[in-house]
Amino acid sequence: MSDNLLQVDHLRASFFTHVGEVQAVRDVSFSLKKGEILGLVGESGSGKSVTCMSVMKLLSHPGRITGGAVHFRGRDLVPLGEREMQQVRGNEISMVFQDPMTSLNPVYTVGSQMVEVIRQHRPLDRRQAKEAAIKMLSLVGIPSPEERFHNYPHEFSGGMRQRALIAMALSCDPGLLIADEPTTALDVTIQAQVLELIGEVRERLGTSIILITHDLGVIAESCERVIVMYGGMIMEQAPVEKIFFDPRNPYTLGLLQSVPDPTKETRERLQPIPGSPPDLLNPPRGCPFSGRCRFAMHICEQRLPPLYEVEEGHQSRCWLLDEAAPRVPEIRKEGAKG
Amino acid sequence: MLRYILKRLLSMLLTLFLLATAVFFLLRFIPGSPFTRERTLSPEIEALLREKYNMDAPLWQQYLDYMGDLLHLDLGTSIQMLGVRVNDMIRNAFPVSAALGFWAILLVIVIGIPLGVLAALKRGRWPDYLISFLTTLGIAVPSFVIGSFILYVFGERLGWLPPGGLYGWRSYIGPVLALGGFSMAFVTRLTRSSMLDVTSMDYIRTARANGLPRGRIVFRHALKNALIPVVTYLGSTFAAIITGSFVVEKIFAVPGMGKYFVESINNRDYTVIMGTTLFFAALYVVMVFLVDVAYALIDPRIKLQD
Amino acid sequence: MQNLWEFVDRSGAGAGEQPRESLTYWKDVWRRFRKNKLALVGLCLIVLILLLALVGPVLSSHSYSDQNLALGNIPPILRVTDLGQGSKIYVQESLYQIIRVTDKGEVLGPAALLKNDTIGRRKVFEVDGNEVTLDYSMVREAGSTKKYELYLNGSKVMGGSKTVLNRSNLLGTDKLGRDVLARTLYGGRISLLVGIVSALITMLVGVAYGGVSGYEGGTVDNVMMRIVDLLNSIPLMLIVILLMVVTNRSDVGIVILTISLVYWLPMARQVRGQVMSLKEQEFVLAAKALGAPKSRIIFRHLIPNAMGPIVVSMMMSIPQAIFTESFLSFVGLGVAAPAASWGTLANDALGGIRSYPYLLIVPSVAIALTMFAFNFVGDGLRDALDPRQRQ
Repeated sequence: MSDNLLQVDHLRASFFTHVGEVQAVRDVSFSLKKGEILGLVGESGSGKSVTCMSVMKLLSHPGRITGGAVHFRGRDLVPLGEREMQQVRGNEISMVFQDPMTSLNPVYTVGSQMVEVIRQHRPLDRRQAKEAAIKMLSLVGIPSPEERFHNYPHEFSGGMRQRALIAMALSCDPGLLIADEPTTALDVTIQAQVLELIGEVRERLGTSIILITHDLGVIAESCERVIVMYGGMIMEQAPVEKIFFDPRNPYTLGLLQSVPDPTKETRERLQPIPGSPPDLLNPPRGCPFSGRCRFAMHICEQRLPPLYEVEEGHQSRCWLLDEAAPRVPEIRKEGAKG
Repeated sequence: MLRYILKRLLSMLLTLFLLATAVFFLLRFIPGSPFTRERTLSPEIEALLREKYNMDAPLWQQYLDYMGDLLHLDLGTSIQMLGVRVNDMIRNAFPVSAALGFWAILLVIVIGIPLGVLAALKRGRWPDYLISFLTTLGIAVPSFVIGSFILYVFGERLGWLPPGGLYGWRSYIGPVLALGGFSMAFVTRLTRSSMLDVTSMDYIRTARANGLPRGRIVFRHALKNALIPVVTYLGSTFAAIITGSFVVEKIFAVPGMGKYFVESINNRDYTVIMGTTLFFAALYVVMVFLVDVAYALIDPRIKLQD
Repeated sequence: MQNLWEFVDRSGAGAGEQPRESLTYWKDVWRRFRKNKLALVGLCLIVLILLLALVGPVLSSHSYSDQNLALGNIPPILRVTDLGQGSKIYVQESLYQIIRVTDKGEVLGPAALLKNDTIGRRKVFEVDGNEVTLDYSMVREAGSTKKYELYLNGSKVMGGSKTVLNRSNLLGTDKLGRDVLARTLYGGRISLLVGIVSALITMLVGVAYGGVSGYEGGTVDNVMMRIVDLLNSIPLMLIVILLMVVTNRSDVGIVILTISLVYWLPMARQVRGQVMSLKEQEFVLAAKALGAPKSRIIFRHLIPNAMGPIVVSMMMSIPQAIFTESFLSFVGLGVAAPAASWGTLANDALGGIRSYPYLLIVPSVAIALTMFAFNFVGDGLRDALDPRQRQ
């Protein structure tokens, strides 16, 4: 795990509802280097948010981690108690969420909420904390931060609030920032600004970033490496250009085909993926995607495929990559190039 | 802010003016003489009384006179207890009722809100069930039933509490519990559900993600937001306590406004009914205004304009 | 053995999904309501109370208004003293009267009073041909724990006493000798009648007023809501009391009318809010675009969609009205004698709480149980209707 900032091993998390155990994250492993931007894609219910909430140990009743390890800077966070996790959250790992309109407490000023977080983690007095907060506000591009410091959240626009939340998350200089759909609730123009800001933050502060999204456009714009999740599992993991130009998983393929590509001249039809995600209360025995996959084989319904190493740094969970499988040109291309 | 207060004061005065007018004319339309009692009065005495109470003047003259007196905060004289001025009655009785009301509201706030928070924090465990049972009891059982039972069980049977009247702190327990019981139960429930609503809010998740300690999240971030609907309800609490005093003071024989009001109703003592009604209304209107100001202080999204 | 590496044939059967059984809105509500145990208990309780109130007075052998002054204030539980020779009596302690009863607790009638010595504090009765003297002179003595002593033909009665249930009047009699059970059942009729009818009127008025106000918007809405605000700016109970004083009559109709006249206010507000948010939705615009008349849009499209919360409010306004009525009766403004509601019964009992607590307990328990039942059902209904819980 040497230079890995974050190392997640065989993480499992479930929600224990009155109808039974919903296995939201099933054996997820990945790692993140210092200063890296990792994209986490998948449709809603794929387990991407739960994975990150588990990393922060923020799952609340009835959800909890059922297995695995989360090593951050070499230390496993899973066995830590609530008190120790409070030292980690906001200080070493921070998180910003989807809806900036509701993510700030409406009854306190933005400034006082920032000062509260700063003083929680850093030995500063009120005045120093205020200075630090104003500095952060200006860093994330909020104009006249001294005045804005005293404003209430409802006096901020949506984009400004997300900037303020990012400022708050970064105020203690964490090693990792997890952004859970940070742009979904924003206007398109604001989205681009916020993404740009996240990129800048990485440049200037060297923060590693996990960007959760269901929007492939966001991934293409800002990530270096991508993990595609489905049914609580990692389906494919690869550098960003491989995902877009050389996907090796039917699910990734389906995702790409369901997004319009404005650069293509041909009036190709968008192909939505038929069916709906698997029921994680009774997860299928085989590949979670087998029920919707157009290449599904009998083995897919019976046995869970392993993660095949397609090449260095590119893995995909699909039986079609097995030696014994029939050759499907979309997925298995070795030797067929050119 | 100042503009808002002025505007509210004006509308309060308008409300009271309209109420006074309505009450005045309504009571004048009741058939029969207000002096009808068990014994019929001799015509001479009735004529004297009519003159004393200004009842021979044309209606509009009576109305103007009454309104003029109101401007001087003079609520007139009782027509059943000769010579007793309504102002004096209120002056004597209100402090008694106000003391009961004060303790009842304190009970609602100081016990009701913490119980609600406790129930929310212990959701689904025995303190929650116990509190929920008690609040259901408090909401479903009317104040006069609670009052009568306290009086019977603790006053008559066990002898722990004095059987009535207001002498010493122990005599306050029964009336205050009966008066505040319903509102306390309601506030507890409201606080509980409001706390639970707030706890699932995004900003609470933000606070947790930023590593704030649990106590700080509950008491600084969740509670203040959860109190917003509770504060809104406080206006209704005043109404509940005013109306509750009618029965509770009767049960516990407390010489307060409520008891006199009910007596004046039973005696058809119209000037007293009118005076106390106006007094209650004015009190309530002022209280609601104060609640609105408190509301704006808690929730910065509310601006005292308009 | 199947070839694992063979593709699955999906050309045939459609998407293997089983369409969920579709439920109508109210069926779905009922399905969720049923899961709430307390609400079900409440519902059963309401049905039971309604049945008792409707059928009870018919079945009861006692009438709610028949008086028998000689048999007043007899409690539901009797302490029977055995005089020997098969004579059993119950001593009415507070009035110093002797009632002839049977072993099983049936009330036979009052014993004839032969002599009343008010100065010597003794009464002489005739029971089955014997002279029974009731001596209560010791109540004046300080420290006396006994309230009276009995003498049969001059000799002190030592015979044991036992406690039995009153068979003739299951819940005892009031001070005028009226059967408490009959009066409570009858009072339940009045209380429930007031509760249900005024809740219905409240709903109709509130829905009409709020519906029009919310739909029209603008000036009409402004004026209509100002009126509501004005009335709402004083405690509603105060208005009810004033109106009751002014009408100066105490029959059930007036009580219902007065309560309905006041409590439509909160309902109107709520309906207005519902209608205002609904009228912006597409299906209303569609109806408008199709040229549907205003009344049709309000009553066919808006109101039915706002029905859920309205029904919950109505459910909650039944106990509210029952409470208001009993409150009015308690301050002396409710239905007049010999008619009775639970509130009047409780009010009448208050004076004698020291000696006859059962007179207060019976109607109080009846009120409390009814309030519980309606509150539980209302809560259950609200939870069942909450769209956030709809899955």
